[in-house]
Amino acid sequence: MSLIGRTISGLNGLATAICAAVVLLLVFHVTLEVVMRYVVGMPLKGTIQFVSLYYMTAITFLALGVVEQRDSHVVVEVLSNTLGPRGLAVCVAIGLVLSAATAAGLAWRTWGEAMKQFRGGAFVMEGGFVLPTWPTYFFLPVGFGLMLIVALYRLGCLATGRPTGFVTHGFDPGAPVFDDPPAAADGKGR
Amino acid sequence: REVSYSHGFATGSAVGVAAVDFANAVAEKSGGDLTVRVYPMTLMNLIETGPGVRDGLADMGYVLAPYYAADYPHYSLLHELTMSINLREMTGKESLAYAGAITEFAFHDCPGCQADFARQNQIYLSGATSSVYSLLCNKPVVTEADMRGKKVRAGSPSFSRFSEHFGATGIQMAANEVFEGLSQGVLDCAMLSAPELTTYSLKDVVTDVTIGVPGGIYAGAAVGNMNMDSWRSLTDDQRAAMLWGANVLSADISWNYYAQDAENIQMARDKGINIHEASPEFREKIRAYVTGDLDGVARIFETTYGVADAAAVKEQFMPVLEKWYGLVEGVETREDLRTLFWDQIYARVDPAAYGM
Amino acid sequence: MTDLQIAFAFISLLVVLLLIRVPIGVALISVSFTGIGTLLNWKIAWGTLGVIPYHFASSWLLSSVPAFLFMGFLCYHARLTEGLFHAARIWLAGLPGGLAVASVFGCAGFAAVTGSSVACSAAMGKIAVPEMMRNRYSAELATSTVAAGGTIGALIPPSILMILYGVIAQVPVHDLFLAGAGIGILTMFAYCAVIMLRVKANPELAPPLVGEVITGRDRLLALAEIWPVLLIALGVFGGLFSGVFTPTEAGAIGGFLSLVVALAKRTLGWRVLWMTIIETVITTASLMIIAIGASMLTRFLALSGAGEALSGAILGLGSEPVVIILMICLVYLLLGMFLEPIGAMLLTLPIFLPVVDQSGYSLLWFGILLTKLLEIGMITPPIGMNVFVIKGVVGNLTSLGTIFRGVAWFIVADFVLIALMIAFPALVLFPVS
Ligand code: NA
Ligand code: NA
Repeated sequence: MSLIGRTISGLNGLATAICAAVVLLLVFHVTLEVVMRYVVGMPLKGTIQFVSLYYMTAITFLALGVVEQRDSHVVVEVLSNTLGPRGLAVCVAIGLVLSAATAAGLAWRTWGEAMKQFRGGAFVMEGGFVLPTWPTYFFLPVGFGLMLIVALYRLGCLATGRPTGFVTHGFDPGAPVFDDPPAAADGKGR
Repeated sequence: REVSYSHGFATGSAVGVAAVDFANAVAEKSGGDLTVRVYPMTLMNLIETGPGVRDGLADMGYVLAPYYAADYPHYSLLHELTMSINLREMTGKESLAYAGAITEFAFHDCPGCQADFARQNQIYLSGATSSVYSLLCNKPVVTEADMRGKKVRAGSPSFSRFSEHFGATGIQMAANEVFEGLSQGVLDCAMLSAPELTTYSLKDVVTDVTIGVPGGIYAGAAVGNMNMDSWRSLTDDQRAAMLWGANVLSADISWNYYAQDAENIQMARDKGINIHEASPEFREKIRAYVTGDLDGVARIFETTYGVADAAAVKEQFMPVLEKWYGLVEGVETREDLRTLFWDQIYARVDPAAYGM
Repeated sequence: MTDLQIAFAFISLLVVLLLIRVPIGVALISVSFTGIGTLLNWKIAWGTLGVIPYHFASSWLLSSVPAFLFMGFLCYHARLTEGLFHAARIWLAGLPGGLAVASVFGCAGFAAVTGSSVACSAAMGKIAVPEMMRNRYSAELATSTVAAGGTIGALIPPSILMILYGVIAQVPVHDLFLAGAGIGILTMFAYCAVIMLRVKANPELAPPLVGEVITGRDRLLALAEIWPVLLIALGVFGGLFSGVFTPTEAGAIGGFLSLVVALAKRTLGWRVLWMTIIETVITTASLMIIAIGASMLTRFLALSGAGEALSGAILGLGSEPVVIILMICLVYLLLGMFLEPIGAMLLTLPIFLPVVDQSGYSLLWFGILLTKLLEIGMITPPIGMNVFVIKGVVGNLTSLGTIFRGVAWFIVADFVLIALMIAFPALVLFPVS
């Protein structure tokens, strides 16, 4: 089991790394566009297309697997808190089944759409250059696919009572988002 | 039978009002056998409508072909040719003529357009136009020198090319950011049609309007594209009623924009906004630029979008447009335009055969 | 079944799913999908899955969400905000409850670089609460001050709630930011008043600092410590309001500036960067999936006519617009008890926006009122995220009940502010006009 957990974590780690690069790209690209426009009077062509079609779709969908792995989906915890461990487990299981079904439907549907765009070679033209848009459609089936795999695996672990064996990539999946990094981990303390 | 029609505009807008007239016309013509339910904004936004109609989210919708130029290259080409209105003396009725020409051409003379729409599982029923594009600015622009160095919102590739040619900086920006752009000085001007003064409240930040610069019209909206399966599931009589309504939709959207343009210019004058025209020298420079640019357009559509017959389409379309300049001369009312569109375009469409 | 009955059946199903802890985004998408399938046909429902997620996410206007999140997380992890509390402490130590007042000022300062309220509480909680406890402040006052102070984080720009509201209601984000800053600052002063009044009435809550001599030089030095935040905030809001860039671009500029400042302060390591980005990515993805679901629910409500029916029912209940607004306030206070603010907003706007619009109130004004209402939800029991975060900081030193009790005083002040906002909309709108 833990091999599967590690593999899934690895896939999600890769997806997260891509998202990380994209977040930095977004920050630099838009800043550069503002600087070029304001200082040089020469805006970067296609910035809006790059940001909206490429960066936003990548950040939104590629990270869905890691969100599922960390159980970071936003949930309403009014009732579930009062249910006790068994009740909670049932709720979590229902949530996982629905998540898996939804992710499966979305992955299947968006894969079809992505292939349609791929075959049509979808692109936009901006300021004299061609920006292919079909690759951006593939972020959806990949992200929903990862979410599906994680949900199914977590469901399996829940049913069999085994630990998921997820590996964290520089963060603890159970820790609150705002927790401080352990000083030892970065080797120099603070 | 009820069909749904989705458009991405407010209920009270030029399109919103026309959509209701369209629904009434269909219901009346079919004697209540076929009704249209209109979804303004709620069902799909403008960008979703193309793929949405393809997949049947709505039976019919207002599709922005130029946004998906690769999917609808022929119709987008016809749209890009609107800059040609700069080559004639302005009459004020260019947009009405263009609406008639593009709709007639797409129905009767443009197998490429029909094939593009069919590939997206759609059937073309209506074309329409915005009014002529102007410069909505916070400083006066009259001469070519005024244009130089201005930061201009340019919503399409042909407008970006125009800006660059005249030494301005073409900036891409969502239409609903233009208000902030103009009020904060990120923009000096926006290339939009005058009704946008009201739609996006730009009248509060615009101080100067230069009419007819850059020229051009938004003609690329296939305002009544219907899902192919929905179309084929109708009876001949129902399809006849749809065409009757589609005629109203084409004529009314174009007329509403045309009328609102005049109203907005008047409102701007009353508000103390300066209304300019380009200087004769600038106008001449624009003509020279547009002549060259139009030759380039056909080439772009050949090489980039694979429209092998782009040059031929352009050659065939220009005489149709020229004919329509004459046809709209006598149009004084909404009813005139409806009648003209019916006689020239829709009466010649066979509801039993079209798209079947 | 009629369309409306189907719609309400599915809305009920949605509520049940939410209550049993199904992720909000998943519940919204699955219910809207099956709802549209049942109502119309499955081909259309299948179509929505292909069209809506892609087109919703590929949005230029929403790109400021990850950018502003990045900026806030980076300021926090790279410790660019630590000088804030220290400076406020040195300047305000003489006031009754001076440390508590200082933490409210610290929260307001941190608010200028972060878009969320939890981040604000967490950051100030770690710095300010231990300091107050050391000076024998009552745990109730110390913890509740920071939990409540955090809510200023979503009022003073940048604010993720306002960006999303602006995109959905088509209100200029720029105007929301300006008006939000006004109410955020008012909230800050209201909270300071609460603290000082409480301490005046019961000095034991916050004993005066003893043996501490603060010189003029200390004051100036402390002021110099807040330069990172000052620089970033000046860069972002100076550029935004003077026309160098748009609100959409402001997030990226802020992110870039914080990177530069963190480098200059030598607090930017690979680990800090990685933590920042991971949190940015996870928060963005989990927000966007809810927003996509809410967008699908909007279509379902439109197709079934349930949206119009609900809006109409609300409009029919009260003839006076102010009655309608008060009812909407009540609904949001109730929702805020249980729901996370962005989810609550996205779930309800499809129904309430037309209502507010038709009752004649400005959508800009409503956006600020809504933000304020939803932020109160962050500190009301039983689910008060800010309170939970502070509880996490203090551990076993105090109980959740104690923090919630302390927070009640601040909620009273919030209610007064909300009453004023409704009675005098100009209070909200004056920075914009
Ligand atoms: Na903030
Ligand atoms: Na709450």
